Amino acid sequence: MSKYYLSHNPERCVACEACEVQCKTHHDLSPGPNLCQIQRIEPEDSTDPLNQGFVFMPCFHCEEAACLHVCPTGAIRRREKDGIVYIESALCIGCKSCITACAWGACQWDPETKKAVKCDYCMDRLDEGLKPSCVTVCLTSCLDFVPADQLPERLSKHINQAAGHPEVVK
Amino acid sequence: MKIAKYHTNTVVGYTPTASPASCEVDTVRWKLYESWKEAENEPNERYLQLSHLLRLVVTVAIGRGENGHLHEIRTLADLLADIPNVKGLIESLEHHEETWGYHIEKGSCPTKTCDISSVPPCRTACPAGINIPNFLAEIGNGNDTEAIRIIVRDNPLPLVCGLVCPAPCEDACVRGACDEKPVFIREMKAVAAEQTLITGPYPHRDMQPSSGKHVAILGSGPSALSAAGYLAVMGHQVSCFEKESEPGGMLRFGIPGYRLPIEVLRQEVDQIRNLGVEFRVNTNIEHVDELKRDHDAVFIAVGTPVSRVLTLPGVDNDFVHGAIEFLRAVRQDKKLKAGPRVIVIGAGEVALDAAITAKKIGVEQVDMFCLERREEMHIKPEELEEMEELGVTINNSWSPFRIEKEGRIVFQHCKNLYDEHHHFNPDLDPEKTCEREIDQVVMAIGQTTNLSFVSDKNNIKVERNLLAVHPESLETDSPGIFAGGDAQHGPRLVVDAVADGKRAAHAIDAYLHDKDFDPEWVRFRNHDTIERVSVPAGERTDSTRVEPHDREVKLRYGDTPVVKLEMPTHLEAVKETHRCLRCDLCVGCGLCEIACAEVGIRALKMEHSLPGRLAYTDFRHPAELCIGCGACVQVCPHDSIRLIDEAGVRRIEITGTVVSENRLVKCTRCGTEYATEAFIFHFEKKLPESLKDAPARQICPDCARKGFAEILNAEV
Repeated sequence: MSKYYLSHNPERCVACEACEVQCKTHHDLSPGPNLCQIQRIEPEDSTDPLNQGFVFMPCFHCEEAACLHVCPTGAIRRREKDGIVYIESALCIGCKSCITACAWGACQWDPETKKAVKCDYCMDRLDEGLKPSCVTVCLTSCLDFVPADQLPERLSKHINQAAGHPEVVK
Repeated sequence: MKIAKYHTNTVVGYTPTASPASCEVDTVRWKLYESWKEAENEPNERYLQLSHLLRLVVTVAIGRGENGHLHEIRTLADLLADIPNVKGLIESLEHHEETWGYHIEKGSCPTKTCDISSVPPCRTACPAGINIPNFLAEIGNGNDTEAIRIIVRDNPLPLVCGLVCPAPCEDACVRGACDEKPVFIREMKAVAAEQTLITGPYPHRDMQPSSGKHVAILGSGPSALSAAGYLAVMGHQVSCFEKESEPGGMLRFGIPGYRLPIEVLRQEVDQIRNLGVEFRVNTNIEHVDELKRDHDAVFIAVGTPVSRVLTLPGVDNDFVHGAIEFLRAVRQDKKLKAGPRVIVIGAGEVALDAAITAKKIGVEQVDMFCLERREEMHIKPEELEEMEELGVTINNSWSPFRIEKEGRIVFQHCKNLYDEHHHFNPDLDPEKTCEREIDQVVMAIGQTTNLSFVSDKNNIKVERNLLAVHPESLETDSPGIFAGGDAQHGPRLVVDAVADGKRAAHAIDAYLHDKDFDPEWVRFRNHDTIERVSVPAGERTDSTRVEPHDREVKLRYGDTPVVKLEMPTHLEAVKETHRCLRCDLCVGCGLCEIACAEVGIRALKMEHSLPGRLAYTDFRHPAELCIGCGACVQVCPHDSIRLIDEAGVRRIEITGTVVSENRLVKCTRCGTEYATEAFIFHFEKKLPESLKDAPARQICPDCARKGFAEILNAEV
């Protein structure tokens, strides 16, 4: 588990997608992959469009990271100092093991480089003392980059057991 | 003793672009590849590390390296430093850092050794540069007319070259390098041409409107026909001036009828004529200025229609003939008095033609004498055997010394043809001689030309009795007068002459439009890639070369024209295209093979072929092992491997052949088929117990993200 956590306050989120745009810009990505993504959840009562839910989905840098286990080339690694799980692009052969194995759909396919890509919390920015790019452009300040001990329990129970939620299949 | 240089057909063989010693990175790469092949039985962990290392090195070598590569290479190499070739890699990285850096920064090799080109070796070897894999694919797909359209862009004489070309392309064939049976290429052109001619003329691309310019061509041999055809397509009016009674030059009066029947040649000449080319036969041109006066440009393509003769006592006797004159007389149907004893002197294709022709016109005893040892002769071994079957005796290592007017020839024995420096320097033994009673001597020791139609005053330079031209544009020093073919470079293959004609046509077109000639126009202009033929794996692996030559030699040289026997049937031709490895698509870098090993599957196995190239010859092997992950597809730099998801099955297809089929899994939420069963089974083995059989594995990655978001949303 990384020692950081990207927190999202859905109450304040307006799904402007500035985070996604900035993420793509920072990682120089083609149109396909979304390292972070605002998922729009349709309300049960479709007559109430204002009740749409927004869930921010980056990578959770799981404790038992399936992607890391299945990568055949050792391209997926965990940074010792902060537990960030990242892909060493030079080693990726595009077998999509990580993409298929990840329970959260965090590993993404870049059709341009023919390699897998994933959220690395903008670790190059962290090393410069900056916050991840998505956080810095968030218009409503609903995103924040915080220590992992502030992780709500409902999240940590999922993340520490990265097999996927049984409910998810339904 | 002065000995005239023997004529040899220059076969332009495959010159490997990647000589293993010329680039540091390339050398290290292939040594590492050897070590990797040898490490197959090493512990898995080590083998995988070596696989990662090799793939990174190959990626850098082929110019696709990234900044992180060298660091990863160093890290992996340190773990495997006990392997000698890995140690070599470490040293190379240390001492040749700038070479490795160049490959990454520039994406290419400073010596051009590693730069992989998708121009296949067969095409590089073809003097005319025909896009061979593409036209074969069109034949395989049943589009003979399209095949001809591809061929005539580079060679307007597919029927003629389909019968007489010695096929340097086949010598360069990658399949031949692997299983010694190159793809049968030569006659395929003729098969496609025949099929095309049933329905109509050869299709030419981009027929240009009339330019109003008029080009004169001196001669009507292969280079003249080629230039005439292309100039006509470019919209120019073309007239060929031929002193013989029929167009074709050496094709008509030099090459024997059993190799190129007159009817076949006429068909092909008609194709050029139909483009609007005018042939003026029985026309002798006294001086090239006559032509230049009445035309906008002139192309001199008179060939080398004169035999050389040896300078030795008695050559002026009237029973001594040049081979070209002899062959011409036979082709002109002149009643010749020949035999009963004829000696042919020479060791090349013309000597072979002369000897067989002599036998065909009824000469009882035909002997071939040459300086060369049998293995030094410039005739293919199978052709030598055929000639012997016909009753021609070959006498090797004899040098003619004297011809006596009573009808006798004396030879001296030649101990060695070349000195220790491999220079032509016959070592003759005056003590050991051989005498023969003869009726005729035919000398096939080389050809020259007659250039009486040029003179100093029009600036056309003649060097060693050949026309001197600018090497790229083929223009002489006299503006607007161009020269090519044998008269410009000496005797070579028909297809070389055809290539000259194409080059000259482009240069003349540029001259007529007052533009500069760009040599790029004549080399590999068309890069379009024809759809691959879908061939079953077993057939592509096992099918052997079609051998239409496998027949009684008597049939070939019998009285009735038997060209049909020379050619494969249309069905055989289609089958033969299935053997083509499509080297225009697959450059043989080996990344797919290595990536497959990295995934831990080892389904793909390539073989060494030509230097610097690997190739697939066994298309059946992957079927059992492949899990359909598609890593091979992703690492391939040239789209030669494809992944096709269709009807619940994932197929991996290598240059047209499906090598594996795997069942796809459906997402239980959205129904998308997102991965193969075998693939999921393969990587699940690597997961800890807590992550195995996860619910998330029943849904596609997109639904995983969406589904988890829904759960989180519900929990808020």
